[in-house]
Amino acid sequence: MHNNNGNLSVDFLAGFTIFIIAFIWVATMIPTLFVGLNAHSVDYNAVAYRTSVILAEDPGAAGPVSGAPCFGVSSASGSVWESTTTAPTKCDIARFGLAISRDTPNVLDENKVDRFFSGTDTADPNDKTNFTYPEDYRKRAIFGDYPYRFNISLRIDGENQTRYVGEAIPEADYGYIRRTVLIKSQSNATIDEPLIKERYWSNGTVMQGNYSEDRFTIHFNGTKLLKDITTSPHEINYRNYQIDPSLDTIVINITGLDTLYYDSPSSLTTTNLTGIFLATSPTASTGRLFNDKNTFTYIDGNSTPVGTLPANVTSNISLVIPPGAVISGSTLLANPQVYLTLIFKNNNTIPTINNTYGNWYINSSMSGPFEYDYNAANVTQPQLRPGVLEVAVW
Amino acid sequence: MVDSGGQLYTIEGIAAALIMLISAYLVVNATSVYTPGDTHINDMQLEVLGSDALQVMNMPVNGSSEKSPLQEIVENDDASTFNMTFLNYVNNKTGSEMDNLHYTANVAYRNISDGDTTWSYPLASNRNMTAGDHPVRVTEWVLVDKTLPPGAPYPPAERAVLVEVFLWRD
Repeated sequence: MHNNNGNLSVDFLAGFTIFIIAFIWVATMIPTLFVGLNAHSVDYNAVAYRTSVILAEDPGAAGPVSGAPCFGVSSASGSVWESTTTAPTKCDIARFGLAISRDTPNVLDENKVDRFFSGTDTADPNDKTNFTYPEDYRKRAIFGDYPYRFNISLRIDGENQTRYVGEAIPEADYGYIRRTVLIKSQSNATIDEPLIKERYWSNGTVMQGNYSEDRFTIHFNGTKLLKDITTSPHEINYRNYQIDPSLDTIVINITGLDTLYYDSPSSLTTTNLTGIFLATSPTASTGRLFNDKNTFTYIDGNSTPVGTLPANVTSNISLVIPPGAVISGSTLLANPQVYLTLIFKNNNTIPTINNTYGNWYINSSMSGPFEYDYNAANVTQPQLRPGVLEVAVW
Repeated sequence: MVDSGGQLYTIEGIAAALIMLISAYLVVNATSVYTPGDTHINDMQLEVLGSDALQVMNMPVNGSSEKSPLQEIVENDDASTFNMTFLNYVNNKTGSEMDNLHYTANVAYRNISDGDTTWSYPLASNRNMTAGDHPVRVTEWVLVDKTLPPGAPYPPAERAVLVEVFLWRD
């Protein structure tokens, strides 16, 4: 007996085939429906905007960077990521950000700008300091899972060169944002020959008596420097121009030291810098906050800091004190008056000459310390220079 | 023996295919009425640029200054300084070429002597806005010491005014 059960009829086969062909055609057409939405372009612009906000409105953060193999566990914290004192390696930088603080958007810190644009194109796995494009910047400024490529550039008024990080921008299909910014320069002071001879010259006339050693002291008045400018009258009106040793680099140049000696019969040409200490009073012999901090001391134009003390000085000394290195925010708040003192002893080995004419040098014992403050006659105050920041992402 | 009921398989297949194709056609047509996805981005870029420029102009030029350049511009009705400074900020680029943006700026304030209404007067512009232009609006509050309305017989008084800028690209 013949049974048709289980056979596939020709008309079912035809109907099913037509259905499947139509289904496949529609399914392959679905992705093209979203082409008009320009999803990539929207995303690129959003990432460019986000990056510009991170750079122009955020001070960044020191701390462990996420998702990157590093040279040990970072214990850094705070917003001073640009200093190798507070963030010794690039693994101590969690997020880039160029603003001086969150309260002052569009005002960029000169030190952060310098460090950010100091990157190299050569990836060296053992390089603990220099940033490499794109990995180091992607993890700290661009973010996101997609491996974006980018170009970040900054032009500052008065500079010939545009600073940039990244590669050449493509012809089309990239996200872009432009920000108008101001770049805050650091304060600095120059204590030169005329100033020394007027106020700090231990030559027996301006300053009576002989000193077995010369001490020159610089005073940081934390009460004045960090006074809350929003609530009370102050020497400075705006936070953008505040000198904050815990966030800013302090540069002090002492020059013309070779002109201070008594001409004859002395034949001194150098003097020994025997010590540097920071204390809560200019003469404190105990309770010093540190002793012989010489890593920020440069002598006679040498590009490397003096290694050990005592050291011979011929004509000038530069103190380049990184943010928070010697005066952190907490130190300044706990001890509002801090004094940085340099101790000199001359190299004259003839006692009689030493007693009579020796120690014609720099000494603030009589006139009082040099005040590092908001007096523009003493200290070159921070300036704001206009600039333009561009971020392109693709 | 022939069973004619099997003919329905083909008809159902054709009907299902037609439904899918018509649906796809309708969806494709529907997407064609979408606004281009990135129109708002150009507006956002202009807004950021204009806001930054006004904010930077409203910062004093040194730590002991009493007033920002924008305060002085509004107090003195200094249109030429506003024109030069604002255009310099918004047109500057990191490359060698400059941008070419246009703007018109007004100052809005509350006129207490006229029933506490909001008045405004033109501050500066580098081109008249036409109906075809597509501007964005950016603003900055500024504290000024000024007689308002301008020319009124009152002494200057400290008050907040709103500097309002319409910014567009050709």
